[in-house]
Amino acid sequence: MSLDAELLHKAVAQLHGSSVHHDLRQRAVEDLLTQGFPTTRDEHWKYSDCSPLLASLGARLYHDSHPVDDVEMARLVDVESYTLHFVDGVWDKERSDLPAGITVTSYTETTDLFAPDEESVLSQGFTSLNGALASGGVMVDVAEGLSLDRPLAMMHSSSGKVAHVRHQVRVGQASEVVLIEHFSGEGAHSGLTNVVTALHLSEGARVAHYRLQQEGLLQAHIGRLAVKQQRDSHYCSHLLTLGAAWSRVDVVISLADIGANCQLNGLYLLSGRQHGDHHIQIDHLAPHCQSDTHYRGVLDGRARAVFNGKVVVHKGAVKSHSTQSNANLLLSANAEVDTKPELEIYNDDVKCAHGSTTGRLDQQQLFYLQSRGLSESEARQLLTLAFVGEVMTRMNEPALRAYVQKGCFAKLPHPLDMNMEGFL
Amino acid sequence: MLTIENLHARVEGKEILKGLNLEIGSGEIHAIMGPNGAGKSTLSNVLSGRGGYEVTQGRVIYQGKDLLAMSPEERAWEGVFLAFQYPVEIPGVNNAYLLKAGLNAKRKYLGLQELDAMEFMSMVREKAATVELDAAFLSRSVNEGFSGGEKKRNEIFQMAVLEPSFAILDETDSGLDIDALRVVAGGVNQLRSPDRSMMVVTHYQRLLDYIEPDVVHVLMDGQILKTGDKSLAKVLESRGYDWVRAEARS
Amino acid sequence: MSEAQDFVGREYDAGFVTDIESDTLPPGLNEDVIRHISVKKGEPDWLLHWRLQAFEHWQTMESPDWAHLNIAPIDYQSISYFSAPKSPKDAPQSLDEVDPKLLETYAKLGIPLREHAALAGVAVDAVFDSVSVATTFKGKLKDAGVIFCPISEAVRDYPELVQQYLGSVVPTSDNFFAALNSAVFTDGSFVFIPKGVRCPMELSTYFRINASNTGQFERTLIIAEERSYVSYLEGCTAPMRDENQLHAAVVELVVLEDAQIKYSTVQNWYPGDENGVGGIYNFVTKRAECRGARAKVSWTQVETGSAITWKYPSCVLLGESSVGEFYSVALTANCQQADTGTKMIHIGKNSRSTIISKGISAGRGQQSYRGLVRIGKQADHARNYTQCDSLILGDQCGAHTFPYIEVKNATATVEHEATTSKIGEDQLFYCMQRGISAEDAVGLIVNGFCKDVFKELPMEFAVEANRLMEVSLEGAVG
Repeated sequence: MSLDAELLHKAVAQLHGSSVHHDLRQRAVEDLLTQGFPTTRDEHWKYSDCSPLLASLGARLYHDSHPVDDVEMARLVDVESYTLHFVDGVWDKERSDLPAGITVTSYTETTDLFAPDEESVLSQGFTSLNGALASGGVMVDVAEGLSLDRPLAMMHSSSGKVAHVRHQVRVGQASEVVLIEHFSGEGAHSGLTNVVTALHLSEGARVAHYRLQQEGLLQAHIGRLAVKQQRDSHYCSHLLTLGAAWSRVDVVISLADIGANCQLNGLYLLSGRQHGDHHIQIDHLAPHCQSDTHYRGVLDGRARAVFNGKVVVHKGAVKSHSTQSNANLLLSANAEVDTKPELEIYNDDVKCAHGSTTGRLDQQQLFYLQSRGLSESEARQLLTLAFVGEVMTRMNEPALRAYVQKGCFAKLPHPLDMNMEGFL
Repeated sequence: MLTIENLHARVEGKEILKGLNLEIGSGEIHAIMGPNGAGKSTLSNVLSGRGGYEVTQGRVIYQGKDLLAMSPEERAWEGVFLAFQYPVEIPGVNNAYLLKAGLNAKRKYLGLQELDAMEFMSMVREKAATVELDAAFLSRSVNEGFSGGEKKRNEIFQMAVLEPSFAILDETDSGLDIDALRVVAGGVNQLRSPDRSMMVVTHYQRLLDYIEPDVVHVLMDGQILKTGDKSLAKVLESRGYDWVRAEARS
Repeated sequence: MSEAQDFVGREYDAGFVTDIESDTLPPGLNEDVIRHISVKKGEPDWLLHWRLQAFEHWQTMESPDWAHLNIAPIDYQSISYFSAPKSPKDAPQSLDEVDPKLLETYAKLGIPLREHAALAGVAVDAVFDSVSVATTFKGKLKDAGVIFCPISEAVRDYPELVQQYLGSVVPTSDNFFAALNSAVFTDGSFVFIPKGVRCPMELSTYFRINASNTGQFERTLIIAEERSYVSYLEGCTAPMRDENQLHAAVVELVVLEDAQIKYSTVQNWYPGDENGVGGIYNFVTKRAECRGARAKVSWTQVETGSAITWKYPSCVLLGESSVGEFYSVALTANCQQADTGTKMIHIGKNSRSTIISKGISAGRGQQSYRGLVRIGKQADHARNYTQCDSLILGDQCGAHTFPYIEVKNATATVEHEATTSKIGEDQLFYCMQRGISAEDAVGLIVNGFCKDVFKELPMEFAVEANRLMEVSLEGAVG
């Protein structure tokens, strides 16, 4: 389905905000009108066709007048946190629980808008649509030198509406924070969460970011995570995709100053007819930066996963160090994986390596476990858990790791009778 | 053989050697001992011409020539050999080829006839036996997939083939178990000769039980703070290094 | 001290021009040109028809722009599509009738065409501009039942074979350059190995572009029937000229049950000078179809030449347990650009493929590995292993990796590994400490880096490849 310019203009005109918002929206509208929505002819959308989604949403894409259904607020069981609640992207200010040193303003009220980075080829179309139509979301300011004692959780519940959400998070110099973005919601009709999160890490800041997507199977989810890192900052993301019928998440990291480093861990467990697409672009722009990417996926049923990881080492980014690996486990005959680990290097003083594997469970390992008395399904389960466990062991927050582990175990086929305590 | 006078050297802008003096005569074995960070590896690297080391003062006279003015390969041709602390892996390049290229470049430099493949192979087979190195090593890639002990044995084997006049053994004992150490030391001892000097750089006295030095130096704070005979090594083993500094200061 | 610096003063030693009279069509491309080529070659109607269809389709196509290449627009009307050395007769009947200057040209290239002087055990077909000038050892091959001749001759002598297989692997509409080639191809080699025959010697074709303003569009077709084996080598050179010259070849390999084709290329087209002036534009479509069970294809390529290389020798693994291999060394120096790799399309059960790609980028060279591994739904237990390494010499060049991996079968195993690094200063110092000069050390390390590919080359070519790398690396050390 092509872009409806009239509906777009109409929808933008109804939005509130400052002149800064107005300018950003106008730019986004122009971008969107020039490039349109991506098609499978676009290199970065080669394996993900969004046209059925666009067709099914129709005019709701621009303005969704469905009444808000009752939504059950998501909770992170056993995880203590400071919490912000969002329903269809709209911040529920009353229910916020915030510590000192953290300032939150709703997106339409802040005038401090981060420079948009729509020019990146990755999420063209949807990021512009978000820029034009975002009304939900917040600006989070983490003060300098703050070391937060509990994670800051941004809990999103969808009622099945189309929501364009824009978050901005600025982490002050030498601050340390664990950030959770959680998406859930079992709406009665199919909606879309189109969320853009821009994160700025100041000098020496350290962020561990859990992005957990557990939306209902009627939902579509499009996310863009844009991270800009200053000198010696450290960013570690743990990205989990379990939910949504159709999802696409783009992670764009800019290592903008000396000594910045990032570690991107990801896990996608897809089954049924789920489609999950993960794109990553890491730009090494300054010397002595390091990036490590480790994504794993398990595919069951007729699920299809797409992975595209790209590391670009720019001229002048000497002493760059980068590793990237993507491993996929196919549990069923009809599952499908398309993976493309890319390197673009314009510099000689680098050390980069990437790898990708796709296959089923190791037959020899299966046999070994069976010969030790496990049933075939137990053996399969155990090896699958070992495969996903590789990513979980990288999570440093025990409570969050336990939460993720539980979510993953529930998602895997043939729930296991074994007591998995102490498995990892 | 080798005279070092007032040597000052820097790495990444930091002064490591601060006026080092050392004299090694023909056929002598000198041990350089010292705590970590004293400048032992810097000395080895400066003498063999590794990049990244800046000599700011002093001179090194080797067999009457200005050693520091030579490129690394010229030094090799003149008979300087460095047994690396961490021998480098070079995938796809086999040991025999590397050695033949190195040896023939040296022979050419010295105005000698280059060895043909036959002469070369029979010579290296013989030398390989002296360090208990299987001849199959020759066709393997340089140090690739070698164990720690194999790498060090390979270094001594290369030394045997290249027949240097002055050999620097940089922490050759590090990471070796006692059996490997014995083999390596045995190889070194076979190479002792009146016209070959050696500088044995080590952190531990243990190696000196097997390779007996004529002179022992203590390198600390970028200088030779004390010189003695082999009994000094034993004293260092039992008393550590701090007393040396105290004595030198007083 | 950085020993591994820009390539400078790289010399191209096959860059001479042979001064011979040639019969060249004026520049331009239209139906009449195609008819003219067809008449010149004395072709049957079906082939002319086939060409015209390809041309019609080509006119509807656009030059591909997805590669990581910076190509100035090509004016296809300014190229001459046919050039043949004008010999006393219309075509040389034997080597004795070949223009002595041509023989001299090939001698300069190190390819003696006279059989008595020929490399033992290698039959050579030489293609000069658009025409095959000599094929050696024809008699001996014929005794074994092997057909090895210029494709134009095959069209005349074995029309049914050519008609059956031509375009069956790379259809005329496959891609822009393949369509162009189909319309205007002039010569190339034809090889047919009958059932159960192991070709008694290596077959080799040397391509040379000599005339200026000409394009070279050769077409190679190799058919290996059941249980047969052939090793085929291909070498390419061109004179140094200021303008860019176009080379758009198509190579089709058909491999039947239990047959094996080993196809090796040493591509040393003129790469242009250090400022990027001149050089060959090399747009090549190479594809093999393993049609029978256990059929095997190995592509080995050493690509040091050409200003621009656009080339993806591919394997379509239809047969059960069929095998595809791709071994590549590509070097880009000065202003060279290369976007090269392979496609492994797994359709047959238990099909296996191996990809070993070694890229060396220097000067202002830009190099990309682009590969596709596709495991189809039916390809149970298919396996692929890909190793893709880049070595960077100098801070002005680029090395990129774009692997596409598509897996639609759960029993498949696909592994991809890639590394990019510069020559280690510690490796260089180690060699130098052993008495090897910095320049020799770079050569040594680069050759070691390429070893996994060089060892796949037939002996004669391995020597040439080593020498080529050495020449290309001259002056690599600042």
